[in-house]
Amino acid sequence: MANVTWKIGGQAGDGIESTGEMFAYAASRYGLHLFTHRNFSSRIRGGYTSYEARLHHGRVLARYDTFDLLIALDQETIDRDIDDVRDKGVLIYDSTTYKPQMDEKHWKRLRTYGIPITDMAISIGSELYRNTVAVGVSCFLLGLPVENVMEIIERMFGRKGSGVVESNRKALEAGRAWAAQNIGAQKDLAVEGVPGRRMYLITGNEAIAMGAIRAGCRFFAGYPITPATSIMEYLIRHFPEYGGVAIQVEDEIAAIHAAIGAGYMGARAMTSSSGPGISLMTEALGLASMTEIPVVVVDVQRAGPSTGMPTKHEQADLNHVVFGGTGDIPRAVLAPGTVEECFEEAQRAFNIADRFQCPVFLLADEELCMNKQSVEKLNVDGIPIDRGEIAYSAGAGYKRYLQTPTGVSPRVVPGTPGGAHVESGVEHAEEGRIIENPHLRRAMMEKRMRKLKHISDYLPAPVLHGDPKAEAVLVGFGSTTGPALEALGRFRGGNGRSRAPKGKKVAYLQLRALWPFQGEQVRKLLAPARRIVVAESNAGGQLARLVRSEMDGHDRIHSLLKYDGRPFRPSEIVEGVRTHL
Amino acid sequence: MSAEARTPAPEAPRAPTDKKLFTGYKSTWCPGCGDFGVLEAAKRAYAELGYGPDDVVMVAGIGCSGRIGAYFKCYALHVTHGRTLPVATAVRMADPERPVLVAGGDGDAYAIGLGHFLHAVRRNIDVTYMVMDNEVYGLTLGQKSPTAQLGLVTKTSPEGVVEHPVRPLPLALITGATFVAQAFSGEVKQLAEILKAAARHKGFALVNILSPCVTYNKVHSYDWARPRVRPIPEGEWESADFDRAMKLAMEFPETIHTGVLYQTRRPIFEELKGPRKPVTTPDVFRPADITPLLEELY
Repeated sequence: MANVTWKIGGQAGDGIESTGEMFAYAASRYGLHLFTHRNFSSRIRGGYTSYEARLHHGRVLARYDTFDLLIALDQETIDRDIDDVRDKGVLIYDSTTYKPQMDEKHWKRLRTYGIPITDMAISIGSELYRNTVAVGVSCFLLGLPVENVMEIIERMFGRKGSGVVESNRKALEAGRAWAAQNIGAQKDLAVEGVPGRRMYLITGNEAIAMGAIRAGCRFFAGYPITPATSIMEYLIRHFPEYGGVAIQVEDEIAAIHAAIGAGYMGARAMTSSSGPGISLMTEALGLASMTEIPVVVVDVQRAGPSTGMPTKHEQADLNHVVFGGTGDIPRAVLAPGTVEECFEEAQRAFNIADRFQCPVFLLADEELCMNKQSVEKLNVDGIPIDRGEIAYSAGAGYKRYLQTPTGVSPRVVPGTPGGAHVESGVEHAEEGRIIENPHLRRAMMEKRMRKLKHISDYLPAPVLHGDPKAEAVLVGFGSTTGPALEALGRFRGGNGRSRAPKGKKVAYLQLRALWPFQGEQVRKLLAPARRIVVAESNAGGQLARLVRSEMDGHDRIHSLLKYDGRPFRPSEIVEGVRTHL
Repeated sequence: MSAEARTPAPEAPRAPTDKKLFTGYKSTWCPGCGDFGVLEAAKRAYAELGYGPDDVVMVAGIGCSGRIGAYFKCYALHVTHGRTLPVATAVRMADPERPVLVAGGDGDAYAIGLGHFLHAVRRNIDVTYMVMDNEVYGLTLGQKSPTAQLGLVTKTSPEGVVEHPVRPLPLALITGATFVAQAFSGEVKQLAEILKAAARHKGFALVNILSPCVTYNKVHSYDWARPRVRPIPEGEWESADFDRAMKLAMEFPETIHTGVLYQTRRPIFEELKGPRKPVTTPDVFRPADITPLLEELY
């Protein structure tokens, strides 16, 4: 059994992230599940940065409310994080460089150890090794096997030569030995791994990129933007192995137009961005919709509006991706809530885009996409490729925009003999000819809008977690799913540290797609609920508004909003729901 | 039938085809519009090169000029204002064997799409870019464009244009263009030859075409242009003399040197960054094996 949260904090440039990854991968190789969280600033050097890893015996989808062990490499970490270390938790600081300035109560309530981390590192050869010393201390306290850490050290530093690996091994040993001698075993921190259980640590962005590759996506264009950039970097690195091509272009307007251009040629194509870039991409949604060219757009939401807080979490683009754009644009919006779902929905997005020849959004968020979570496996058999209606030959009467019951017309790829025609963002007749005739206009608009009715059949169904007859139902999407499910567990009384009232039945309705809105299913699932609490990371209650627009009984719908740039903690959801019980 | 049945990549030289094959929808351009000359020259050029409508992809912009996408029959994609080049870049990256003709006006190229223009030139993607330059926005009924000469009176410059005009050819040259041509739509025969040379050029080919607007630009008309036009002899087209090209380009508008001012060789983006084979894969239905990607995350 294990449920321990470890955290290290310091200044950007101190190697916090690589230390966190070293620790996280070591724990993962011990067969433990993890949920990690990076806190970083929008700057390259300096500024507080931290890495948090929750170790758990089973799959976890959220951060815990408090930390058990905090390694503070500087005073700023103390200032920011000390309140969140649990009572009797462990605080470790680098006694070579500072002595913590903190309220007397923390000295009393915490087990605090000053460790000469920097001195130890210097004696091994360089200050650079202090992170590994800290990992060594952590390994002893948590009981992580040294072999697992050494495997990771060899992978991380093997390229730099055996000297560097050896010094890291010494640093690891030094940290362990110091802790063994001066702190001793701490039962409450010890974790028990599952040796032999093979786990993978993966971010939502990696899962999306892998899903795209698996689905046959072979073209990507993008522009750097936090927190979506790593999708582009991943594809630029890995596409060549799969015969694909990913390019960085001059702006997001170019990125989405390029994706549309590749889609026109028959390639499965994608772009990704976040708020400011998604604003620019909005221009092309109409073009994709009008020309009926498939395109997949990933929005990894961050805190807006404008530049907002680029490295912080929010879910405030919902209105934009569901309703954004001028003119009537049929589209689909998928909203994965876990890394497994990122992988799955990325594949589904291409199928829907191809089948309905329209833009498909994958609406993800910073918490889901920037942080590594552990998975035992990804569902690699679940989603077959569906390229939709493609005509491989074109007769004399070929009409690109043929009226059909679903609104979808067989498309030809340029080069198909006899298929030359024009596809235009200007209103056009079935064969592509530009028109302004009111009857034709109406018919073509209805053709495109007809798709919406049929897209619903291809969306992932909303999932009700917990008792279907619960009196209170939480509603959410994206990474809110993690803390919501954890909160649910506490209402069931499954957690000793819970402050949730036992016996009250609470369920969680996870919307895995936001558009077209699955009104019928949602109404049915929410019918027994006396209270509906819509939890979302934005100030405007965007999801709540969407739900209300599809439901009666508005007085039972309440909002639980968080917009401070941080994702919900499970306890915040418990408290937020409790007020409505 | 699989996608492999698509026409193979066209290989020059091919036997000439009939230019009538490229006849698309009937145009709505004003009688006398310079764009007619461009349409005619494009048909001639692509027929003489031996292409058919199914071989060619055209990406067309917005405005009177962009309508050429409906009038020149081929696989035409009529896109958003100013965004032809990002689309065309991807068309070439997706299928590096397909000839791509990009068409638009001076607003498309040098106002709303100027950023894309510079980046397409930098990348040296292998497309032919026909810019129909008439110094005005015609389809919106006569406003100044970025190439409008100083003093030109339009609806949005009632006292004459005061902004210095964009100079497309020098701009392309200093950005690293590998093929820079100036043409006049009143000289269809020469324009067709320029377009052929542009299509044969391996790299980004800018063909800036003075294409008079007979309705909204009465100043810079056919009559204004004709005496200024000085064709560069075809024998002098394949010149990589940058200074000479810059000098000729800077003589505009006093002297309008038509022909290919500059041509050189530089690797194309598709070869440097493109896929090893086309990624136009409508017939691929088998998911890729991602096991190696997953193992990297163990």
